[in-house]
Amino acid sequence: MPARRCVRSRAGRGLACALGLVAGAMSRLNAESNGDSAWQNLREWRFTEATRAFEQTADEPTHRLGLAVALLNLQPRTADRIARAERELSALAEDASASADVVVPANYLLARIAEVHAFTPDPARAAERYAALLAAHPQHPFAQTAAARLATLRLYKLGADPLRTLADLESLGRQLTDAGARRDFHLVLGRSYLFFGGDRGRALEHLQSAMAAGIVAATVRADVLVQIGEVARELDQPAISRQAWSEFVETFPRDPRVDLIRERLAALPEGGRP
Amino acid sequence: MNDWRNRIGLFLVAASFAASVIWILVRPSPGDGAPTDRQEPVVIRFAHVTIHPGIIRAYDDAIRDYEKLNPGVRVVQMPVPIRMWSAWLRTQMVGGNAPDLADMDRGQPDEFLARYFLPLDEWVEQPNPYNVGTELEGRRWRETFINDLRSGRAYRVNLQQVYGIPFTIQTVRLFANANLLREITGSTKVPENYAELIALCHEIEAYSERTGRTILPFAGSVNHTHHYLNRLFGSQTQRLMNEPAVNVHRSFVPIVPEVYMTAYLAYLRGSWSWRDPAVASGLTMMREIAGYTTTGFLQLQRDDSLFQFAQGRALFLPTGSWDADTILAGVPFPMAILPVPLPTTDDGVRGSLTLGPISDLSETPGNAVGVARSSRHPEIAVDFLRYLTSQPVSRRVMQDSNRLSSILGVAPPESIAGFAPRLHGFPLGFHPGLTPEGSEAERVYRSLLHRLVSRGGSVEDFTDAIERVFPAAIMADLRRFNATARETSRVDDALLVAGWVGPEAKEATTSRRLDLMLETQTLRELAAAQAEWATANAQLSSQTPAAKAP
Repeated sequence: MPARRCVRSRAGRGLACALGLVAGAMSRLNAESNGDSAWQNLREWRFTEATRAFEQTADEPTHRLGLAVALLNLQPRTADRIARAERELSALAEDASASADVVVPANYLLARIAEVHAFTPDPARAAERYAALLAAHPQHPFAQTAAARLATLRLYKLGADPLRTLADLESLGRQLTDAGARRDFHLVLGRSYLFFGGDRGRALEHLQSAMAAGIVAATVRADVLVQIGEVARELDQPAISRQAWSEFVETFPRDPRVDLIRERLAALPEGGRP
Repeated sequence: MNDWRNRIGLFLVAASFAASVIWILVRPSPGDGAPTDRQEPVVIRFAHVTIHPGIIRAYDDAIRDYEKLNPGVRVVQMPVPIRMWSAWLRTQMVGGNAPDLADMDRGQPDEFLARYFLPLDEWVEQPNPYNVGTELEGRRWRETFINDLRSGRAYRVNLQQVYGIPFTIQTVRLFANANLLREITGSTKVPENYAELIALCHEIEAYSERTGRTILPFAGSVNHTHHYLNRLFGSQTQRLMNEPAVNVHRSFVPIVPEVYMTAYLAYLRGSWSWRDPAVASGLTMMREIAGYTTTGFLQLQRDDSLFQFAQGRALFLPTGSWDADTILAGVPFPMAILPVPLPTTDDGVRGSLTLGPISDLSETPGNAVGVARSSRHPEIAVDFLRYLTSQPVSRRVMQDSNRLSSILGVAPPESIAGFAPRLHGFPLGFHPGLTPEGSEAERVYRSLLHRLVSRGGSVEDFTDAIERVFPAAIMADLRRFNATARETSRVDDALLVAGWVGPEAKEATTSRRLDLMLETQTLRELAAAQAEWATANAQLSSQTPAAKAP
């Protein structure tokens, strides 16, 4: 009975309230810490731990996204897990109350499931989902990353006539405002024009646009400078070659191609407009 | 009285609860944060296969100095014999007992690296603090390496990321027995090109006939001879590699993994075949040199050729800088070290196929070490790698172990000055041995090589045989490449989502990391799509001779 008397006392009520508040705060802290550790596990490829942690906090929409990608990578990969991830993402994608920062990645991941996560990839479905995402959220940077992936699918897996597809894809690039999305889209188109033996003038424009958008990896930057110089040389545009190759020689003096490019640079005819 | 006792009881409960709360909030997480005086030191386990005593000693000295600079850190060296390396490393990784740092270029496939090692791209773009006060101060870590970390193995082209930090660079040269050379030719002048080498081979044959003492031009074994044969072949495909029909992306690919991918796709497009004049010329030269090499060298091992050379029964031993220390220590006569003699541009048909001297910048670096994904202290592991690859420390370690440093401005030890990398010249073309280790193309090439180099073999016989199996082999390799690309992309998706919506989303460094990851993923998936398209639409040159160029 002393305990009941205690709770009835003023001090007891105060203590009970304090304990309740502390317990509540600790539970919130615990949930946050679970969430943080879930993300950390995800970043460190510990998908089993990440799945477990996200399952405990799955009322948070971003954690449901985390749960879906953890499930997609959980070993052994099974059709059931992929289907569960797809259900989670579909629910998020259709949740009218969710913000674009959740809906867009959810839709993007649905396309990725069809393209790379499913045991039997469905390129047509993936392309459909990428196109729908771009149409629904044309300004969202995350949605814009779909453009390069959509272009790759249409060129290499869906189009019977790659050169015609290349021409069709040109308009897609014009709606991209995010620098990274533009860069990736132009890299795909520039390299694809060359791969399929298409219009080298268009290839050159795309490679230049990719460079202007800002290439991150030094190795890719070196390659694109060499490509721009060589395509421009073939098209009799020595000034463009000179500019690109001079930058290459200056920026990458120890690249194995540097003497080859120096030789080609020296052999360029004078003149031309940059 | 009772009330008083109750209050004491309540106070004690509240006090112990508050103490527990405070303890839970302030206690350090396991493995969290920097070590303090009262904590156990952070232990970094560094596993590698370079078990040569000189190298282990050199690392030990460096480790001692590093620990003095970082009192809270202990580095444990774990030398593992190369024969058990792959199985050992896999067991450690899978069993969750991985070393923090480990050799990552001993045949580890891309999928293994992607799963168990950390990409180092973010770190290599920052300066190496241990280069302060040297000519490399302030330069990005990547830019302090002779090849900017561009070459294969350290940089994994299939994954488009840097996974290893190489300590050495490897070059291939010929050791010549200086006494024997003087005895045969009357001078110590070494051949400077392929034509001079063949003339010398004739001279050696005449000497053997004249004196009755059998001297071979080359001591050979499966380990030593491949390096030379590959260079001979690669010299002949230098120009072919730059033809627009092969070099479709116009990037003049300079490094091994990209070279084989380009060559594979060009083969499937019908842009070259094993009967192409450049390829046939390379095979002819390989057969010619094999004829001047120990009979049955494909069945012999490294020690056999070393023994033959050390006994003075062969004039040359082709080998790499990784072998130099052993040879210098074990061979009793004076030696010259010379570059591999290759055709010069004025050497008739052979010369017309070559671009010129070969730059060592496209050579694969050696002793590349990566950071295990499971390391609890990746920052400290990377810090130790930075220390080992700083200019002063690398200079000391390489001097002590007679190897070539991968770091700019570190001159080779005097005894192996002849192996100093040639920084000018042109990239090697593709060659049959350029395929990735463990690939199907490498397996079929090696299994058929005897039909080219044995006494009863011929270029024609080898060509007929390889043409039958090569397409299926490279298609199998491309399928494997695509499977790895897909697996890597799947994990990338998780990392991208974590970066986009996770707690780090608002951090400035996250945005750059995500940007790099997206660019990498885009190009990896593009390369995989191109490989798939080329496989599905293969038009081999032997099937459609007209379809030579796009």
